[in-house]
Amino acid sequence: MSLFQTLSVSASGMSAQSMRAQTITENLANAETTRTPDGGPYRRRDVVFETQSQSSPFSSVFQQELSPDAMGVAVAEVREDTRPPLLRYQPGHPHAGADGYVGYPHISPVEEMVDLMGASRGYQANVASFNAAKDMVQKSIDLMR
Amino acid sequence: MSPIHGMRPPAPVEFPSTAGPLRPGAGGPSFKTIMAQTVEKVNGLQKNAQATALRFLQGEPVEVHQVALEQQQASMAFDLLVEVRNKMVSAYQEVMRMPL
Amino acid sequence: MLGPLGEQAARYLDLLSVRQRLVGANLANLDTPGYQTKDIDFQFEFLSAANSAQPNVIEPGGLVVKNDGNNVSLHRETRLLAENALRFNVATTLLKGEMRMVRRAIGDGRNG
Repeated sequence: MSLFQTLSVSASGMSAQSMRAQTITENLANAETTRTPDGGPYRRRDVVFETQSQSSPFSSVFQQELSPDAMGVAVAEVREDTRPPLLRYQPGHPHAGADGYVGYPHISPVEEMVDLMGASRGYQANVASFNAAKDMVQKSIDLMR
Repeated sequence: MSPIHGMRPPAPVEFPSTAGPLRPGAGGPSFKTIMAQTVEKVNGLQKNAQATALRFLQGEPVEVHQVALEQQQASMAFDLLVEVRNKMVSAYQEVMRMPL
Repeated sequence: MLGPLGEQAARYLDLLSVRQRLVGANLANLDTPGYQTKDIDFQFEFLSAANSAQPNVIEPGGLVVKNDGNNVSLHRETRLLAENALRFNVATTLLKGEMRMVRRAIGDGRNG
């Protein structure tokens, strides 16, 4: 596996962690949202990662080399929480149902914050490996000077 | 999981040695032959280095350090050859300067 | 004058400059609604014999389209930026090596 493929893999890691962070931020912002355009309260979203072969932009577009060594990551899907919403008894609430209950999303801000820290660390780790690969290639080039 | 392939260690440049006392007409390869062989070896190294560099430019999975090492090897061998030649030429000139 | 490696390296540098310019444009338009990522088919352009012709600008596929129609991926462009710069260094160093070799040959012919 060429060092340049490492760049692809790290970049895919950064992309994936960034999307994860974005999703978590959406969850945090909508932790108490009781009405969405689709009707009903906000549903917690989660990202699902899967491995994805990385192709290099330096190989011909018509012969993308999908090397089995360069396994990066991609977001397979953004899954919504399918559980019925959390119900709280608030008869005066504008979005209350006939029985006086309001539906809330199953979002715990503490859990989301911890997850966000994980996404941030993951992003930083990928940036570090990206820079490491760059340095290594630069050092190899310096051999020729 | 594919095995990790190590880098090929750089091949040492062997200049043919003629250890032993010099005896006129004693046989063994002449200097001309030795020089010709060495030039061939250096030429070979340079051709390899060029080929590897070209393959890298064409997008094949060649590592940068492989290109770098082969370039440097070829360059060093070439420089050494040129120095040897220069020394031989100046030695010849010195001999020619000797008064008879 | 420089031999096949020198000429190829020079062509490589030309293509890399074009690509880097496109990456710069893509990054500048990171938030422009409707903007599509631009690139060149690097290997194809390099391997085809056409020399001074300008390479064709294509729009690479497989990119995620955001809500405003923009499909620029920050990470793809940053990665290309880094790889372009590194490959540029490799090519310039190769060219320098070639030139030094030729100059050495000229110089020693004079002194010898």
